[in-house]
Amino acid sequence: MKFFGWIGYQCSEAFFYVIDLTCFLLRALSVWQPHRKIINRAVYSVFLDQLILNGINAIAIISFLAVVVGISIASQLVFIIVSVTGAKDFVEILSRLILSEIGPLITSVVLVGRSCTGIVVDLGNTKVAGELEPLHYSGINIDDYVVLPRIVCMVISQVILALYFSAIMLMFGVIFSLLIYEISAQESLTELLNLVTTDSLFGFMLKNVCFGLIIGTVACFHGLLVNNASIHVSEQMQKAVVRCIVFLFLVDSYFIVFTL
Amino acid sequence: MKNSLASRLVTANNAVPCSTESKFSFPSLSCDLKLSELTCLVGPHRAQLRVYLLMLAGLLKSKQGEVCVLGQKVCELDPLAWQSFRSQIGYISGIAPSLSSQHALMNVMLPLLYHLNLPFRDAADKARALLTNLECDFEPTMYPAKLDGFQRGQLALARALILDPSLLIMDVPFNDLGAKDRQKMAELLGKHKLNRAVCMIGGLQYPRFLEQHASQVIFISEYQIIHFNGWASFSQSEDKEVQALLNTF
Repeated sequence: MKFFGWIGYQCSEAFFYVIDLTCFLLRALSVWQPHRKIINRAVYSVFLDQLILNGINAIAIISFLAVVVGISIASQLVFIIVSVTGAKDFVEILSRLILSEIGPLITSVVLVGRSCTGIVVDLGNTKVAGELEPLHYSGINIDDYVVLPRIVCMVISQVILALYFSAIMLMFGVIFSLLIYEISAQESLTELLNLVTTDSLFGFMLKNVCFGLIIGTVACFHGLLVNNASIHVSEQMQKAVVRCIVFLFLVDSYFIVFTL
Repeated sequence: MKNSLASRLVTANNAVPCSTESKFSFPSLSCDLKLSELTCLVGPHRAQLRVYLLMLAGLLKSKQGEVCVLGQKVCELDPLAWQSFRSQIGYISGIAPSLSSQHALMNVMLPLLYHLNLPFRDAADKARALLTNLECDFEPTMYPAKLDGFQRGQLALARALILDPSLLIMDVPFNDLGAKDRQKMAELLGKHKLNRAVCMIGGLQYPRFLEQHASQVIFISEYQIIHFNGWASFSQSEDKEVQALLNTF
């Protein structure tokens, strides 16, 4: 009986957590109302800071990972595909796997490890130091100044980095495979470009927007959940990372079912 | 008559704050905060005083009575009006003065950028001028963690004054300051209380400041609220609770 009680408790907790998270995101997005100036300079400066921190600074590690993963995984995939289908649909299968699965997922995992933790620690420490209250008392909307720029930057970073990661990985994977197998480079690249349709691009963008929203929202939500003790910062950071990854894989599964 | 009304920036009429601090009882407060006057809330419980301070600053609703801040009933304001209303009120916290992730100049520029959307250069010029006016001797690009307690206090004051507010709320401004720094801070606050109403808590950390500048001292305990016209009448009070409070300092 206790076991079923525990299951029920966990289910209701998860349900209310999702509701809270959705309300948190909607509240943050509701800042964009008709009266709102499009560029508020204070918000813009935070936005730029976050874009540099989460997006531009991650380019180096994303490039390195893309080359390594491109050479190791893509060449393995090419080997399997060529063995099974005889190089018939190798570009299509490769692009499908990398563009719709491996690229977005690896990018999002890097962002979870790099930026999600950073945001939780940053917001958590700011909250513990009591620095947010004076801002609120001075009429500065915390959702507007703190939360929204982080979420938007995370979405932009995820979309651009995933695109960049997939492109490099695909390129290195194909180039490396060309060195080993006798496949025409020109034909492969032409076929690859033909596969990029509006629908596939839209699906790719939508998936990455969802991933970015999840990482940004969960990070800010847990950062602001920190109470007035620094021990809660690491506790919330762990929760944010685990829940981010769970949500990412759930959304990814949904997209797999949706696109198959 | 009209002038007297205009000089009353905050009016509380039998107001009881709507607070979650359930361990205290809150007697009803009636008072006026006037232009160029300093009002200090004193009492044995700082958490209780802070609740009243937030109510007078329009940050906390009253569950009974009425509070008008800058001629507006706070509970009737929509979010946009509330935001611009708040820009007319400066807030200093001695406990958490400024954002540690931004340097000093950006901390001071922040209200200008957010509320007035001024260009960066204009905001920076204005912020630099104010920091000079407040005799800040540190580099504007230094982060708050690198500043000493007094410099952090100066920075908090600069951020609170940058929009030239007509009401200044000070939450323990002498917190974490040594004796000399308290004196310097008191001089600085004394200079900038002109042309605005000031309400504070934590004044007993430096009674000389209250002696020189307080026009009104409001003693608040769990059972009673007593108004005094300045420090002299407060310190000479024969009330037992007031005496007990004074004896602790």
